[in-house]
Amino acid sequence: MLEPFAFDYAQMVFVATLGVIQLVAARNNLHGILLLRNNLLLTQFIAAALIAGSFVWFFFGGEPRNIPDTGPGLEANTQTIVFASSASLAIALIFFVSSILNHRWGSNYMKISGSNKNDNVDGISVFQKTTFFWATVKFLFRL
Amino acid sequence: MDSWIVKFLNNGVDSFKILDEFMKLMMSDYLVPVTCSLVMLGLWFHGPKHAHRELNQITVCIAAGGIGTVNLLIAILNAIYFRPRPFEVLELNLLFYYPTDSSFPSNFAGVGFAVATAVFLRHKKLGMFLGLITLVGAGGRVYAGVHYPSDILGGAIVGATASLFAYFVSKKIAVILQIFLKLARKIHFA
Repeated sequence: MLEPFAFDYAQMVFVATLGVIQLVAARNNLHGILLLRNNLLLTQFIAAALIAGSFVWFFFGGEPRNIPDTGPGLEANTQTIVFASSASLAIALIFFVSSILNHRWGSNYMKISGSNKNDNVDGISVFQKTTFFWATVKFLFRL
Repeated sequence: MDSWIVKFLNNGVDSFKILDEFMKLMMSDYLVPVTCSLVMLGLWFHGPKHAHRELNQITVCIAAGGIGTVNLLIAILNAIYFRPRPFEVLELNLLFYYPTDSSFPSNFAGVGFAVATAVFLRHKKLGMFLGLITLVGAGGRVYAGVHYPSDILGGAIVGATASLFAYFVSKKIAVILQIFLKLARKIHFA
């Protein structure tokens, strides 16, 4: 179970990661992982607000943040583990929710490319055309 | 000279409340490390085309390698040499908690400059931004009485060297990196 300070840190990282991924996705037309696919400008605005908001909440929320890393604070290794876990959870949530929200749009890619084994669009670039769910389905077809 | 600079800067503590609060924020254990980590995370996904993104992902791998190397180097240096913190030997107004590890080299500067150097090799402005916030945070630690300027300089040199080392290693193991990225691409994580 996380200590209150670590839990606050995890929440800040979680929200900031949501913002960073949405901001980068909007700027690179990765529509498949956008939560607001039809409004890139609004997405970028909300993403920036999420990043700034998470920092403001964590650092100016009233709780002391300069506390010993040997005591209630987080020493470097724990900080890395909490960051990685929280960021991974945020990315997983984005992949999951965006796959639901963009399900119909993403299915068009499957209709066009189908089980075409020569369609080698893979990696993150595939999110310019479809969702994580449909990209995984296509990957499984290609196996 | 080192002690004189710390004493001179530390004289300002409690004189300017806004400056104190700003420095507390900048030198926090969390602001600069989280910013660096989020920049690395963003770079992993960023790139208009696959080729650009792959170069960014290699940059993130170099930064990660730099962080690992700098932590190893600092652990070795700490095992060889222990330097007491300025607040332990000088009369200062401490603006931070009482760290117990060696003052030299600065961990904060080491990790910050390792990431900044790795990013600078590909994105000059972004690398300079990370270098600048690390420098301000590290300067804040001198102001607060937990580091000597030479600790910061030592940390910066160790951090930058670690990332340059990671950069040259990445050239040597380019094939392995490519395989790793190719596998990650298969499952849409790279």
